[in-house]
Amino acid sequence: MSAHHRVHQQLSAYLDGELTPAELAEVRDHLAACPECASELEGLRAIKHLLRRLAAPVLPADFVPGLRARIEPPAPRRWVWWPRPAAALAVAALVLILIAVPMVRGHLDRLKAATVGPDLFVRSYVPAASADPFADRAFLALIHSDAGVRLMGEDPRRNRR
Amino acid sequence: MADARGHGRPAYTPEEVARFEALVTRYAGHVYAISYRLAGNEADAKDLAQEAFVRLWRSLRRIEPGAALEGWLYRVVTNLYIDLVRRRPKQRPQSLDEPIPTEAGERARERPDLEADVERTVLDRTIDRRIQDALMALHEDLRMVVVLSDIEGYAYEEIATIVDVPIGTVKSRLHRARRALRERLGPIHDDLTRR
Repeated sequence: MSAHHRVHQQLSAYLDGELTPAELAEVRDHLAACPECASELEGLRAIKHLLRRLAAPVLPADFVPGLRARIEPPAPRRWVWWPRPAAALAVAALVLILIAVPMVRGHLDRLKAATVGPDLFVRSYVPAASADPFADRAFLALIHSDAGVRLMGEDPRRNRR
Repeated sequence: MADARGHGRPAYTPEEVARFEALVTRYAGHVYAISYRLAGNEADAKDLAQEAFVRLWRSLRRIEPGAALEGWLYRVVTNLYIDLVRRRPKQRPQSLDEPIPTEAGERARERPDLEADVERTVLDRTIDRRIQDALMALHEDLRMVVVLSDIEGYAYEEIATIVDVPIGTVKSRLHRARRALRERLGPIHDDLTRR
Protein backbone atom coordinates (compact mmCIF):
# COMPACT_ATOMS: atom_id res chain seq x y z
CA MET A 1 0.00 0.00 0.00
CA SER A 2 1.46 3.34 -1.00
CA ALA A 3 1.85 6.15 1.53
CA HIS A 4 -0.75 8.17 -0.39
CA HIS A 5 -3.33 5.41 -0.21
CA ARG A 6 -2.57 4.69 3.44
CA VAL A 7 -2.91 8.34 4.43
CA HIS A 8 -6.06 8.67 2.34
CA GLN A 9 -7.66 5.92 4.43
CA GLN A 10 -6.56 7.65 7.65
CA LEU A 11 -8.04 11.06 6.92
CA SER A 12 -11.30 10.54 8.84
CA ALA A 13 -9.42 9.26 11.88
CA TYR A 14 -7.05 12.25 11.57
CA LEU A 15 -10.07 14.54 11.56
CA ASP A 16 -11.39 12.85 14.70
CA GLY A 17 -8.06 12.85 16.57
CA GLU A 18 -8.00 9.07 16.61
CA LEU A 19 -4.49 8.44 15.23
CA THR A 20 -1.41 7.24 17.05
CA PRO A 21 1.47 9.74 17.22
CA ALA A 22 3.31 7.87 14.46
CA GLU A 23 0.27 7.84 12.18
CA LEU A 24 -0.37 11.49 12.92
CA ALA A 25 3.13 12.49 11.91
CA GLU A 26 2.86 10.56 8.63
CA VAL A 27 -0.50 12.11 7.75
CA ARG A 28 0.72 15.64 8.51
CA ASP A 29 3.82 15.20 6.38
CA HIS A 30 1.79 13.80 3.52
CA LEU A 31 -0.90 16.50 3.70
CA ALA A 32 1.72 19.21 3.35
CA ALA A 33 2.80 17.71 0.05
CA CYS A 34 -0.45 16.28 -1.40
CA PRO A 35 -3.17 18.70 -2.53
CA GLU A 36 -5.49 15.81 -3.37
CA CYS A 37 -5.48 14.48 0.20
CA ALA A 38 -5.75 18.03 1.58
CA SER A 39 -8.84 18.57 -0.55
CA GLU A 40 -10.29 15.23 0.52
CA LEU A 41 -9.72 16.17 4.16
CA GLU A 42 -11.64 19.43 3.72
CA GLY A 43 -14.53 17.56 2.12
CA LEU A 44 -14.72 15.12 5.02
CA ARG A 45 -14.47 17.98 7.52
CA ALA A 46 -17.37 19.72 5.75
CA ILE A 47 -19.58 16.63 6.08
CA LYS A 48 -18.72 16.21 9.74
CA HIS A 49 -19.54 19.87 10.30
CA LEU A 50 -22.83 19.56 8.39
CA LEU A 51 -23.98 16.56 10.43
CA ARG A 52 -23.02 18.30 13.68
CA ARG A 53 -25.31 21.18 12.76
CA LEU A 54 -28.32 18.95 12.45
CA ALA A 55 -31.03 19.87 14.92
CA ALA A 56 -32.02 17.10 17.30
CA PRO A 57 -35.44 15.72 16.41
CA VAL A 58 -38.12 16.75 18.88
CA LEU A 59 -39.33 14.00 21.17
CA PRO A 60 -42.98 13.34 20.25
CA ALA A 61 -45.49 14.49 22.88
CA ASP A 62 -46.97 11.01 23.14
CA PHE A 63 -43.62 9.30 23.70
CA VAL A 64 -43.83 9.01 27.49
CA PRO A 65 -47.57 8.15 27.60
CA GLY A 66 -46.93 5.49 24.96
CA LEU A 67 -44.01 4.10 26.95
CA ARG A 68 -46.15 4.05 30.09
CA ALA A 69 -48.81 2.04 28.26
CA ARG A 70 -46.18 -0.48 27.14
CA ILE A 71 -44.75 -1.14 30.58
CA GLU A 72 -47.92 -1.04 32.67
CA PRO A 73 -49.28 -4.50 33.32
CA PRO A 74 -52.86 -5.23 32.23
CA ALA A 75 -55.69 -4.73 34.72
CA PRO A 76 -56.05 -7.52 37.34
CA ARG A 77 -57.81 -10.50 35.86
CA ARG A 78 -61.30 -11.14 37.09
CA TRP A 79 -61.40 -14.51 35.33
CA VAL A 80 -58.69 -16.45 37.08
CA TRP A 81 -59.17 -19.74 35.26
CA TRP A 82 -60.67 -18.31 32.14
CA PRO A 83 -58.79 -15.19 31.12
CA ARG A 84 -61.13 -14.69 28.21
CA PRO A 85 -64.80 -14.34 29.14
CA ALA A 86 -65.95 -15.42 25.67
CA ALA A 87 -64.10 -18.73 26.03
CA ALA A 88 -65.59 -19.27 29.49
CA LEU A 89 -69.06 -18.59 28.13
CA ALA A 90 -68.57 -21.04 25.28
CA VAL A 91 -67.40 -23.79 27.64
CA ALA A 92 -70.32 -23.16 30.00
CA ALA A 93 -72.76 -23.38 27.10
CA LEU A 94 -71.19 -26.65 25.93
CA VAL A 95 -71.46 -28.20 29.39
CA LEU A 96 -75.09 -27.10 29.63
CA ILE A 97 -75.85 -28.69 26.26
CA LEU A 98 -74.10 -31.93 27.18
CA ILE A 99 -76.16 -32.21 30.36
CA ALA A 100 -79.47 -30.96 29.01
CA VAL A 101 -79.67 -33.00 25.80
CA PRO A 102 -79.56 -36.46 27.46
CA MET A 103 -82.07 -35.28 30.07
CA VAL A 104 -84.53 -34.04 27.49
CA ARG A 105 -84.03 -37.06 25.28
CA GLY A 106 -84.53 -39.40 28.24
CA HIS A 107 -87.74 -37.65 29.16
CA LEU A 108 -89.00 -37.83 25.58
CA ASP A 109 -88.13 -41.52 25.40
CA ARG A 110 -90.06 -42.19 28.59
CA LEU A 111 -93.07 -40.32 27.26
CA LYS A 112 -92.86 -42.24 24.02
CA ALA A 113 -92.49 -45.54 25.87
CA ALA A 114 -95.55 -44.76 27.93
CA THR A 115 -97.53 -44.10 24.76
CA VAL A 116 -96.55 -47.34 23.04
CA GLY A 117 -96.40 -49.29 26.31
CA PRO A 118 -99.36 -51.62 25.70
CA ASP A 119 -98.12 -52.59 22.27
CA LEU A 120 -94.64 -53.31 23.59
CA PHE A 121 -96.09 -55.30 26.43
CA VAL A 122 -98.16 -57.44 24.14
CA ARG A 123 -95.23 -58.04 21.77
CA SER A 124 -92.70 -58.70 24.52
CA TYR A 125 -94.43 -60.44 27.36
CA VAL A 126 -97.48 -62.17 25.98
CA PRO A 127 -95.38 -64.54 23.78
CA ALA A 128 -93.17 -65.19 26.80
CA ALA A 129 -96.16 -65.91 28.96
CA SER A 130 -97.63 -68.26 26.40
CA ALA A 131 -94.34 -70.08 26.07
CA ASP A 132 -93.95 -70.36 29.81
CA PRO A 133 -97.43 -69.93 31.33
CA PHE A 134 -96.33 -70.82 34.87
CA ALA A 135 -93.76 -68.03 35.09
CA ASP A 136 -94.80 -64.80 36.67
CA ARG A 137 -92.54 -62.53 34.62
CA ALA A 138 -95.20 -61.22 32.32
CA PHE A 139 -97.68 -60.58 35.07
CA LEU A 140 -95.14 -58.90 37.30
CA ALA A 141 -94.06 -56.68 34.39
CA LEU A 142 -97.66 -55.85 33.72
CA ILE A 143 -98.54 -54.75 37.22
CA HIS A 144 -95.27 -52.76 37.64
CA SER A 145 -95.50 -50.78 34.43
CA ASP A 146 -97.57 -48.01 32.98
CA ALA A 147 -98.57 -50.47 30.30
CA GLY A 148 -100.61 -52.34 32.81
CA VAL A 149 -102.59 -49.27 33.66
CA ARG A 150 -103.03 -48.47 29.98
CA LEU A 151 -104.27 -52.00 29.37
CA MET A 152 -106.87 -51.38 32.00
CA GLY A 153 -108.01 -48.32 29.98
CA GLU A 154 -106.52 -45.53 32.04
CA ASP A 155 -103.88 -43.00 30.96
CA PRO A 156 -101.15 -43.00 33.66
CA ARG A 157 -100.36 -39.35 33.00
CA ARG A 158 -103.87 -38.10 33.41
CA ASN A 159 -103.68 -37.83 37.20
CA ARG A 160 -100.46 -35.81 37.05
CA ARG A 161 -102.09 -33.00 35.15
CA MET B 1 -44.76 5.92 36.34
CA ALA B 2 -46.20 2.51 36.84
CA ASP B 3 -46.04 -0.36 39.19
CA ALA B 4 -44.80 -3.77 38.22
CA ARG B 5 -47.58 -6.04 39.34
CA GLY B 6 -47.88 -9.41 37.76
CA HIS B 7 -45.79 -10.85 34.89
CA GLY B 8 -43.82 -12.89 37.43
CA ARG B 9 -41.78 -9.88 38.49
CA PRO B 10 -41.59 -8.47 41.97
CA ALA B 11 -43.28 -5.13 42.35
CA TYR B 12 -40.90 -2.23 42.03
CA THR B 13 -40.58 0.05 44.99
CA PRO B 14 -41.58 3.70 44.59
CA GLU B 15 -37.87 4.56 44.66
CA GLU B 16 -37.17 2.20 41.77
CA VAL B 17 -40.06 3.61 39.77
CA ALA B 18 -38.80 7.12 40.46
CA ARG B 19 -35.32 6.05 39.32
CA PHE B 20 -36.75 4.71 36.07
CA GLU B 21 -38.70 7.92 35.49
CA ALA B 22 -35.54 9.94 36.03
CA LEU B 23 -33.68 7.79 33.48
CA VAL B 24 -36.46 8.30 30.93
CA THR B 25 -36.39 12.05 31.50
CA ARG B 26 -32.62 12.10 31.15
CA TYR B 27 -32.10 9.85 28.14
CA ALA B 28 -35.34 9.82 26.14
CA GLY B 29 -34.34 12.74 23.91
CA HIS B 30 -30.95 11.27 22.97
CA VAL B 31 -32.26 7.75 22.50
CA TYR B 32 -35.08 9.04 20.30
CA ALA B 33 -32.64 11.19 18.30
CA ILE B 34 -30.42 8.21 17.51
CA SER B 35 -33.44 6.08 16.73
CA TYR B 36 -34.76 8.74 14.36
CA ARG B 37 -31.45 9.12 12.53
CA LEU B 38 -31.17 5.35 12.17
CA ALA B 39 -34.76 4.63 11.17
CA GLY B 40 -35.50 7.80 9.23
CA ASN B 41 -39.12 8.18 10.33
CA GLU B 42 -41.00 9.09 13.49
CA ALA B 43 -43.07 5.91 13.83
CA ASP B 44 -40.11 3.51 13.75
CA ALA B 45 -37.97 5.86 15.83
CA LYS B 46 -40.62 6.04 18.54
CA ASP B 47 -41.08 2.29 18.52
CA LEU B 48 -37.33 1.62 18.76
CA ALA B 49 -36.76 4.13 21.53
CA GLN B 50 -39.77 3.00 23.56
CA GLU B 51 -38.72 -0.64 23.22
CA ALA B 52 -35.24 0.27 24.48
CA PHE B 53 -36.82 1.76 27.62
CA VAL B 54 -39.09 -1.26 28.00
CA ARG B 55 -35.91 -3.40 28.09
CA LEU B 56 -34.47 -1.02 30.65
CA TRP B 57 -37.63 -1.35 32.75
CA ARG B 58 -37.40 -5.13 32.71
CA SER B 59 -33.71 -5.03 33.65
CA LEU B 60 -33.93 -2.24 36.18
CA ARG B 61 -32.81 -4.30 39.17
CA ARG B 62 -29.90 -5.84 37.29
CA ILE B 63 -28.47 -2.45 36.39
CA GLU B 64 -26.30 -0.78 38.97
CA PRO B 65 -27.27 2.79 39.79
CA GLY B 66 -23.87 4.14 38.74
CA ALA B 67 -23.68 2.20 35.46
CA ALA B 68 -23.11 4.01 32.16
CA LEU B 69 -26.61 3.62 30.86
CA GLU B 70 -26.27 5.81 27.81
CA GLY B 71 -24.07 3.34 25.96
CA TRP B 72 -26.25 0.45 27.10
CA LEU B 73 -29.37 2.13 25.74
CA TYR B 74 -27.70 2.99 22.43
CA ARG B 75 -26.50 -0.59 22.09
CA VAL B 76 -30.04 -1.80 22.63
CA VAL B 77 -31.35 0.66 20.04
CA THR B 78 -28.77 -0.37 17.43
CA ASN B 79 -29.52 -4.05 18.01
CA LEU B 80 -33.25 -3.42 17.78
CA TYR B 81 -32.70 -1.48 14.58
CA ILE B 82 -30.68 -4.31 13.05
CA ASP B 83 -33.51 -6.69 13.96
CA LEU B 84 -35.98 -4.29 12.34
CA VAL B 85 -33.94 -4.13 9.13
CA ARG B 86 -33.67 -7.94 9.00
CA ARG B 87 -37.39 -8.43 9.51
CA ARG B 88 -38.36 -6.11 6.68
CA PRO B 89 -38.12 -7.05 3.01
CA LYS B 90 -34.74 -6.20 1.62
CA GLN B 91 -34.69 -3.19 -0.66
CA ARG B 92 -31.86 -3.20 -3.13
CA PRO B 93 -29.82 -0.03 -2.68
CA GLN B 94 -29.51 2.03 -5.83
CA SER B 95 -26.26 3.60 -6.79
CA LEU B 96 -26.39 7.26 -7.73
CA ASP B 97 -24.47 6.47 -10.87
CA GLU B 98 -26.43 3.38 -11.85
CA PRO B 99 -28.03 3.85 -15.30
CA ILE B 100 -31.78 3.35 -15.67
CA PRO B 101 -32.70 0.64 -18.20
CA THR B 102 -35.33 1.78 -20.75
CA GLU B 103 -36.78 0.33 -23.98
CA ALA B 104 -34.48 2.54 -26.00
CA GLY B 105 -31.46 1.50 -23.99
CA GLU B 106 -29.99 2.86 -20.82
CA ARG B 107 -30.18 6.46 -19.81
CA ALA B 108 -28.32 8.34 -17.13
CA ARG B 109 -30.02 8.72 -13.78
CA GLU B 110 -31.17 12.28 -13.13
CA ARG B 111 -29.66 13.56 -9.96
CA PRO B 112 -31.61 16.07 -7.88
CA ASP B 113 -30.24 19.53 -7.75
CA LEU B 114 -29.22 19.65 -4.12
CA GLU B 115 -28.28 23.31 -4.39
CA ALA B 116 -31.85 24.36 -5.07
CA ASP B 117 -33.88 26.19 -2.43
CA VAL B 118 -31.15 26.19 0.19
CA GLU B 119 -31.81 28.68 2.95
CA ARG B 120 -29.06 31.05 3.93
CA THR B 121 -28.82 30.82 7.70
CA VAL B 122 -30.48 27.74 9.08
CA LEU B 123 -30.66 24.08 8.34
CA ASP B 124 -34.34 24.07 7.62
CA ARG B 125 -36.59 21.08 7.25
CA THR B 126 -35.78 20.62 3.60
CA ILE B 127 -32.08 20.34 4.25
CA ASP B 128 -32.64 18.19 7.28
CA ARG B 129 -34.73 15.88 5.14
CA ARG B 130 -32.04 15.71 2.50
CA ILE B 131 -29.38 14.89 5.04
CA GLN B 132 -31.66 12.24 6.49
CA ASP B 133 -32.26 10.85 3.00
CA ALA B 134 -28.52 10.71 2.44
CA LEU B 135 -28.09 8.87 5.73
CA MET B 136 -30.83 6.42 4.75
CA ALA B 137 -29.05 5.76 1.43
CA LEU B 138 -26.09 4.40 3.41
CA HIS B 139 -25.87 0.78 4.43
CA GLU B 140 -27.10 0.46 8.01
CA ASP B 141 -23.64 -0.53 9.25
CA LEU B 142 -22.20 2.72 7.93
CA ARG B 143 -25.19 4.74 9.11
CA MET B 144 -24.82 3.57 12.68
CA VAL B 145 -21.20 4.62 13.03
CA VAL B 146 -21.65 7.99 11.35
CA VAL B 147 -24.69 8.80 13.51
CA LEU B 148 -22.86 7.83 16.68
CA SER B 149 -19.73 9.73 15.68
CA ASP B 150 -20.82 12.87 13.86
CA ILE B 151 -24.27 13.45 15.35
CA GLU B 152 -23.83 12.09 18.86
CA GLY B 153 -20.10 12.79 19.16
CA TYR B 154 -18.88 9.40 20.41
CA ALA B 155 -15.23 8.36 20.28
CA TYR B 156 -14.23 5.33 18.21
CA GLU B 157 -13.73 3.12 21.25
CA GLU B 158 -17.21 3.91 22.55
CA ILE B 159 -18.73 3.27 19.12
CA ALA B 160 -16.86 -0.03 18.92
CA THR B 161 -18.43 -1.05 22.24
CA ILE B 162 -21.93 0.07 21.26
CA VAL B 163 -21.92 -1.52 17.82
CA ASP B 164 -19.79 -4.46 18.98
CA VAL B 165 -17.13 -4.34 16.25
CA PRO B 166 -13.36 -3.74 16.41
CA ILE B 167 -12.08 -0.15 16.43
CA GLY B 168 -10.46 -0.69 13.04
CA THR B 169 -13.87 -1.53 11.61
CA VAL B 170 -15.35 1.64 13.11
CA LYS B 171 -12.54 3.61 11.51
CA SER B 172 -13.02 2.19 8.04
CA ARG B 173 -16.81 2.31 8.15
CA LEU B 174 -16.79 5.92 9.25
CA HIS B 175 -14.43 6.88 6.47
CA ARG B 176 -16.57 5.14 3.87
CA ALA B 177 -19.73 6.69 5.29
CA ARG B 178 -18.33 10.22 5.17
CA ARG B 179 -17.07 9.79 1.62
CA ALA B 180 -20.48 8.56 0.50
CA LEU B 181 -22.18 11.46 2.28
CA ARG B 182 -19.76 13.92 0.76
CA GLU B 183 -20.68 12.62 -2.66
CA ARG B 184 -24.30 13.32 -1.99
CA LEU B 185 -24.29 16.30 0.34
CA GLY B 186 -21.27 18.25 -0.80
CA PRO B 187 -23.28 20.79 -2.81
CA ILE B 188 -25.44 21.64 0.21
CA HIS B 189 -22.45 22.40 2.37
CA ASP B 190 -20.75 24.37 -0.38
CA ASP B 191 -23.86 26.48 -0.78
CA LEU B 192 -24.27 27.07 2.94
CA THR B 193 -20.68 28.14 3.42
CA ARG B 194 -20.58 30.31 0.29
CA ARG B 195 -23.58 32.45 1.21
